Amino acid sequence: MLGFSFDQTKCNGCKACQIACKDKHDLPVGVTWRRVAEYSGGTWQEDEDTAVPNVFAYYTSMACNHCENPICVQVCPTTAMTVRDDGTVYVDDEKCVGCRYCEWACPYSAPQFNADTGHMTKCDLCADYREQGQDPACVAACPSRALGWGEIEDLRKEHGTNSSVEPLPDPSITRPNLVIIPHRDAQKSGQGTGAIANPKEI
Amino acid sequence: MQTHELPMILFTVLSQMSVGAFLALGVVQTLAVSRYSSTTIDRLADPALLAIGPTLVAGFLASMFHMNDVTNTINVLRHWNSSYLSREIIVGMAFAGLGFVFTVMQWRRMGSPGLRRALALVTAAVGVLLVWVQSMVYYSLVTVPAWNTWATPLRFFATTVLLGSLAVGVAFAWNIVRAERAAPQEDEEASAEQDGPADTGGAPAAESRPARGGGLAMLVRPAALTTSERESATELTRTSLRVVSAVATTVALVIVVSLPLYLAGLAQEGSRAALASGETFDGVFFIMRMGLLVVGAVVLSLVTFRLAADRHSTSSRLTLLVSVALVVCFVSEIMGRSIFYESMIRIGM
Repeated sequence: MLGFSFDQTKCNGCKACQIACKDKHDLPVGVTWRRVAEYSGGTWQEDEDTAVPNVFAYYTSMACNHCENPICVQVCPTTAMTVRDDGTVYVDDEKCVGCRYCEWACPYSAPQFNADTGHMTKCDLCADYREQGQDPACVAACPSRALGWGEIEDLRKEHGTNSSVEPLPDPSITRPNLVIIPHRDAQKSGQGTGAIANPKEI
Repeated sequence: MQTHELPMILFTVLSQMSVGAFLALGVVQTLAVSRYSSTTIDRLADPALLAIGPTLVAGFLASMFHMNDVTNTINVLRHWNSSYLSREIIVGMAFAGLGFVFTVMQWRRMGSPGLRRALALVTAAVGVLLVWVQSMVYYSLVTVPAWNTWATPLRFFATTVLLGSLAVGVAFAWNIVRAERAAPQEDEEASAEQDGPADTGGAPAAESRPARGGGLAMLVRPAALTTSERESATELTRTSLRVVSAVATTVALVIVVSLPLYLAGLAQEGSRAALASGETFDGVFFIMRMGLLVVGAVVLSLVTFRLAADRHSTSSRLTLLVSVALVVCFVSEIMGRSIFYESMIRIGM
């Protein structure tokens, strides 16, 4: 089963992955398969007459995680949302009615609606690039080498099994094929004290 | 007002109203049979029954606008073994189909009364299943805390009972007004024949025949009632209106009481999404929704309840009252459903 790895300690939030994806798939305005969330928060301590700030911010680049338990596939009424043999989740244009139910369900905002076609669209882990032996566009574009992809077992062996990091949802819900190398200030899913600073970009 | 989800708002509210009206008619048929002749009951119930179909069809038409590529519509049935959305459409079509067959049979008096009753029971059960499955479409989204709660089925069934019973009340009341307006034709013989003891009501011999002239004449010429038939129908209508008003008030109270419990549940869940969803149940629009509910389902219904017991009140006044109550409750429910969709905030990012 294929998946992504993402190293929060390396990402500087440049969004080259987002733009590479948009360019590669020629996505219209409003459709952004890969997005970079800025999660930030903080507090301060009073030290006698001084307020000492204690703030944090980190980035998370997110596309489809080609989940093991894909809620989008479960809820799709048409079976247009399907899992390929390699574990990637894709939308069959011949079947999709554009009801957007998968959009309601996915906690990673992976399925996105294309108003031009009336169908849902999503990351297919650059199936055509992979066939030609290339890396997915986002992975190839990352200047700090924060993104990786491959067999999820290999990625987990190399980077561990964590994917429970804010602002991501509890991974037990959809079991994403995703490995996160957490930022030093990363907070566990569901126990965050921060907020997404760029919600309109997500 | 959430205009983006208007197709879904109309579809869910209209289909729930249809199921509710069908159920309410079933309750009237069951409870009234011991005191009223089947002629009287059918004369009131049949026109109401005929109005359910178009309401349901209007709901389904609205739902078509939810899809962005209708050319693939038939595919929505494919995933019945996993998706509640597929199940919703399948059960919805089953309810529409059974309801259509039952309506035609009842209208044309086809088949034995027993067969029709059995079919009505199956249709009613499928109707309840439809509302349940419809609520599961939203409840089953574990990623949406605002919907993944007991309040979702409760709300859907509340809409079903509230609008369904009020709609039947309005249909009965209109029927009586039309019957009264038409010149009363004394027909002692028919009167004696039709106003027989109620216990023969279910027997084939005393079974109500199709309206004179048959078919739509029943709707076009409601005056084909004798004086005693009309009096009996008026009495049944007034009793029904009292029950309908009491039911409406009860449902409104359930909605009002469930709200703080629901909001407390969201606060307890505590996720960002849950807390943000809770905030949508606030503001002028929300207050108007609750206000209209209280006006329609409590104030107007209580007046209807009192007036229906008052022998001096006119049928036209009662009709006006219950009609306004239905319209106000319908608007309130549409607004409430709009807020329901607006509260959709997902966990994660």
